[in-house]
Amino acid sequence: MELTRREFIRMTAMAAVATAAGCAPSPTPTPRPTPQPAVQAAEWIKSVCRFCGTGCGVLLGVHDGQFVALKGDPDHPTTKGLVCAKALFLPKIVYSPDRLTKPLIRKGGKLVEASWEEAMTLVADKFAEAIKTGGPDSVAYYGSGQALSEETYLASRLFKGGIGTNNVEGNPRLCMASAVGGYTTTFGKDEPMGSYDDIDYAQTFFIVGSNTAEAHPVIFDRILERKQTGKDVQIILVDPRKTPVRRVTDIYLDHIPGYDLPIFHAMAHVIVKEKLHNPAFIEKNVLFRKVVEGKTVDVTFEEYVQFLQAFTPEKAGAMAGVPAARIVQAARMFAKGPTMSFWTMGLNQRTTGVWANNLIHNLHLITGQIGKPGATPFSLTGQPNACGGVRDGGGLSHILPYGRVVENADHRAQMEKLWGARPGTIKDKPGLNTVEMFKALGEDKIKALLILTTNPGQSLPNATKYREAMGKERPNKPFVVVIDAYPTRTTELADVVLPAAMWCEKEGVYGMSERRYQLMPKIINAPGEGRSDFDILLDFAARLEERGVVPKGYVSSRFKTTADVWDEMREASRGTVYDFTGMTRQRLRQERGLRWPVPSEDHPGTSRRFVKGEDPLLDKGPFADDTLKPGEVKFYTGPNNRAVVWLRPANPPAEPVDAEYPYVLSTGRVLEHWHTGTMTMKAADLRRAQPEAFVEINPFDAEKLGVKSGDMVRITSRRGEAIIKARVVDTPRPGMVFVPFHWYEENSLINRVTIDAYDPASKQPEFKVCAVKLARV
Amino acid sequence: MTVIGALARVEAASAEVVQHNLATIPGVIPFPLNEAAKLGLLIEAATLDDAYHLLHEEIKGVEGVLTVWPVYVDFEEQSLWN
Repeated sequence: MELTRREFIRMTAMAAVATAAGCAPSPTPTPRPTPQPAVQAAEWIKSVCRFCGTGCGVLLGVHDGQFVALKGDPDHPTTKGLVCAKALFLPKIVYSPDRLTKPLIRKGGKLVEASWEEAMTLVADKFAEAIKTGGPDSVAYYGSGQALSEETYLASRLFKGGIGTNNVEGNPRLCMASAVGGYTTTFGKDEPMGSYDDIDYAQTFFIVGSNTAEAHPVIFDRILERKQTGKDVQIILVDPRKTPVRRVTDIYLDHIPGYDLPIFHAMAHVIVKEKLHNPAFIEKNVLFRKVVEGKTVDVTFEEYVQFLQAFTPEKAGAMAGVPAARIVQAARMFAKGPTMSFWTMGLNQRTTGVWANNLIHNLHLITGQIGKPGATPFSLTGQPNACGGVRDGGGLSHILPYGRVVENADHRAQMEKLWGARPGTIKDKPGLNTVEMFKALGEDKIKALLILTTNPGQSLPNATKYREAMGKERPNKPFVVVIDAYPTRTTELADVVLPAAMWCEKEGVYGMSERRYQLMPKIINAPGEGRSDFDILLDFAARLEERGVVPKGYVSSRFKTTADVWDEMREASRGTVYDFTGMTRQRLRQERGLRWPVPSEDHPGTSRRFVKGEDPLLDKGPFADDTLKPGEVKFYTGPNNRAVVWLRPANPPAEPVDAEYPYVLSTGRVLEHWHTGTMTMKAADLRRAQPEAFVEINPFDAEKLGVKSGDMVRITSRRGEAIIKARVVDTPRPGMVFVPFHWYEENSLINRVTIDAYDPASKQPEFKVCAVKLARV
Repeated sequence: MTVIGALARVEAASAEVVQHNLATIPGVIPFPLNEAAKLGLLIEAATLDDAYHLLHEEIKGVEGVLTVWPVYVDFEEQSLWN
């Protein structure tokens, strides 16, 4: 029987499903003839999805030089062949007709096409002029958790070690900074110690402020699988919005937005009161600390217990608006374990974000629910390379690569030596954080800003203020350069727009939530004159060298390809707790990613850090400890090899509701779209599935307001307003409204309404809570 | 023409009924996977957008379907420039 190409594709599709499901199809719905040699399959090339931080393995089908098919990679160890709906549209997004294909320069108020030479000359001239006249701190870089690791590293290297400014930031400041602050203050260093492997062993999932079902759907499926196949696996959800996670939840705590800290303390109270804590683990591995008048003070376990007296379930329940009995249930379930916690922006995007993270860690530490299979606090990441690129690679204003900080003289000296920078080039104080950087731009203190692969014109809180900072015409207006693959609400404000290659049009590494670094190959060329961000940065650096504001050869003599940068990055990790010196480019080409630490080329990667027998750094090197038995935990990154349980106040949000602004606005995502919609809005059916912005209003509030579904509603805060169509649903709790932030139409820009108050520790803005009033239009 | 292979997680107790109901959707061929809580789906439609509509609207609307995961997509026979 001759096999048509269509039949071949059908069979391939079915086989892919069966493989992903881990079983064989039976019976087949259509005859299954033997494939004929004349039928050519696409060439399948392994890569990584470029949306959220899950890091799904994908196989890209290439036929006749075109990207024609995509499937989940069944051999991928963590995502096992599954992808979500967004990934289906990746090819369409790549081939979108509105891709930027030529450099654009603003002339006479309009962006007009220009040559690369003209554009890059202008960019380099403006930056060099700013540095020469205003000093290094008059320029800044704003990058992205979507840039390649090598790109973020190179940009940070150029600005911090070449130009001499720590004004290096990125959009992970908006999403992950509080998780970073939580891990570093509790454990001494950033990043989860566990991995997705733990999902398969957990008995209790503690999901906080995370719509995992829609924002990390493949992870959610793995949780569902565990719940379906495991015995008595239970899920606790803490979220003021009834997301789809609620459908499979055993205990639900729908607190007043911004008031979850009392719940965590009350759970600890119950755990200690009912003697469900783990004294042996605490004795060996934990310190207790609080801050008094700005100074950190060690306290005893007994003082911690005393502190918790203020948070009985009844008191906490009253503060948070949840029944005390449910807090008690949740505490018992948590302590029983093994317990795996997941959280995202509901916890991070808060002025108490770091403290909230600390309190999740507290629960794991006092119960010993950490460092054993299924027991770990795991922060899910919103972007594909926030972890590997920006957090690990030093892409924020206060950090240097691989756990180093700019305020540490040894760390600065290490990086200056490796980079070949002049001693003393790296400043000893953090640069401006994201909000302060854009404020400084508005005050014309930053004279030139390079924005790479991100859309702050839509994504910053209190957006009107910062849109004006970037784009409002004025004498001596700062010079803004945007590198992007698409036109966005930020490119429209730029002085120069440079067309970028994206994803499968360039080669580099992404590092996702579980410390897994994965290589993405280049399979097609960028359209038109698009170039990779890496190439653009190299060009930019060389021109700054020519103009004398960066030492000659500092970048240009060191790197030709991202692989060259990768080798330096491996070297930068040597001897740190991130050590991935064994993660060669060749290994990454062959394997489905590797999880650091990977201290040697024969090391398979690490599922659980801090655990003897699993973490290679406990076997060899400065952290080695031969007194530990297999399975024992040692927090070698923390003070005295311990993790810290913090006594944190349960402070309210920055802008509580009041009589004038009586509703809480919270923002977030839907399944079909991602971040500012730059990519997913290009796919007609994703757009059709969620065609326009909406505000979810609880029926109780809608009745008071006289609003029904479909009505247009004006949402007003002290900063701005948006006019958005109402959806009257019981998803948000009464008193709360929810708006996804994907839509970019003028009236839908919800970030004109959100607040730019930020966590004093993490500098992450409080997107999840601000006070608004509502009116039917 | 677009071909999608998808994995559906279904209520195990009603898997046979769910499979029957899915089979009534034009362009959707469900097939069992030797595991009661999972069904395979072969989806064929004129365009990727149409296929996505089947996936997102029609299939997810069938009672007993908990989640649907696209696993494979081939769109070789359609223009991506729309």
